[in-house]
Amino acid sequence: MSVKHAILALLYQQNRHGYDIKTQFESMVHGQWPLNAGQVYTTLDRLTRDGLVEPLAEGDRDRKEYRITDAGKEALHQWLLTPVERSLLKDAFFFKLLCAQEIDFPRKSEILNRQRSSLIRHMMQLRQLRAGLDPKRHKAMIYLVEGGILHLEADMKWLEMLLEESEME
Amino acid sequence: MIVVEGLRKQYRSGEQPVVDHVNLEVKQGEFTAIMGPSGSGKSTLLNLMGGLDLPDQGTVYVDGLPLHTLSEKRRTLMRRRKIGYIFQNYQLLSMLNVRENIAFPMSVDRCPKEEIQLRVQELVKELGLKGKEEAVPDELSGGQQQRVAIARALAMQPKVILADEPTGNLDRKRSQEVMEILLHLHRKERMTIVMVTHDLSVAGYAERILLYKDGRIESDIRQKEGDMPRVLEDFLAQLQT
Ligand SMILES: Nc1ncnc2c1ncn2[C@@H]1O[C@H](COP(=O)(O)OP(=O)(O)OP(=O)(O)O)[C@@H](O)[C@H]1O
Ligand SMILES: [Mg+2]
Repeated sequence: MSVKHAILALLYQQNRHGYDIKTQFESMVHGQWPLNAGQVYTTLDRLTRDGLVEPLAEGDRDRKEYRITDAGKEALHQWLLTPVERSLLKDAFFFKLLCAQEIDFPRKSEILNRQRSSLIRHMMQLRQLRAGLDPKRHKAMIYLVEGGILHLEADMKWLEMLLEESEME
Repeated sequence: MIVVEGLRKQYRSGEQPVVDHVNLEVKQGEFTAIMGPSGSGKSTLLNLMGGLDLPDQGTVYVDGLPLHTLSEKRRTLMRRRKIGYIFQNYQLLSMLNVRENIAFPMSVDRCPKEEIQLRVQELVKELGLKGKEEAVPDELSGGQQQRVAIARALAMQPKVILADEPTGNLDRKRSQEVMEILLHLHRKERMTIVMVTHDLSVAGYAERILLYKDGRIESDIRQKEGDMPRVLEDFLAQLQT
């Protein structure tokens, strides 16, 4: 789970309170992924139990500062170095096609056409978003958006292949 | 700005027309991309829209003037003054240097020398070609050549830019540079742009995308305003899994 690793990364930089973690996390994801305080504290409890972080003092949980342990640093490094696999079968659109195939859905080419329109809109949105990002301030976000653009391009090529096949049927 | 009415073009009788009764309206300041399979007739449509080719039927109005019923002479003038063309292979004159290439349409139009000089200077600066004024096309990279071609297209301060695969010969980074120039023209100067491209990520710069197939516009997709945050949510959801 990423929240766990995000917290480890934030504590890797410096010791922090729970509230500090919450606000730093939110600024890291440009406020697009709100994290409730409860989630922060339960994750911190779990990390403490696993020996990856430790509280600096006992007492009121709002005041408590946390520090990353050596085991925590090691776990973070390991996680960073582990490649991420993408499951093909978990692709939501592919799954839809699979189900359409299963029931012999008569409007299969409509599924493809609608998906294509949606991809195209998505691309325009990403381009617009990208145009508003500042290379200095939003570097990580630019990587994310550029990655999204490349993924969409590949999805489009795949879709065009499927459309061509479906026309030949 | 551009109105296409019942446009039809067939190269060989008996075959499916490559432009088959197409109707289309492009508004002033709109940035439109045309995508579609190879050989579907995109370039033919664009050439008809710019008066570079004659249709069998139908008309194209550019800025209110019916392109194909004008006399040859008036059509040529209109093309030169109102429309800027950009092509995949740049189509620069190899014997002329950058300055002369950019100045070419103005020279043909017999603009005063000082005016030409000023405009060329302005464009050289705008398109990042400073220091390259004396180079001939062969001495430039593809990206630089395309920027010269864009400068030339802009020389006469056209109302419309028609671009056929403007990034077709460029790598990703160079494509991005060229597209940022077009985007800037569109946003800052409200230039009307119609661009043909194979590349979805290039088409994405436009605010309207036409899917063209078998001589017809199959779909007409416009950007919807205001649903940007949802896109981000999707990406962040992907991060969570
Ligand atoms: N001058 C011409 N004479 C005869 N046929 C032509 C001419 N120009 C194009 N064609 C034919 O018309 C069809 C459409 O060509 P066009 O160049 O408009 O397609 P396109 O969509 O731009 O293709 P591409 O994506 O490959 O550039 C093709 O089958 C082509 O062979
Ligand atoms: Mg073409």
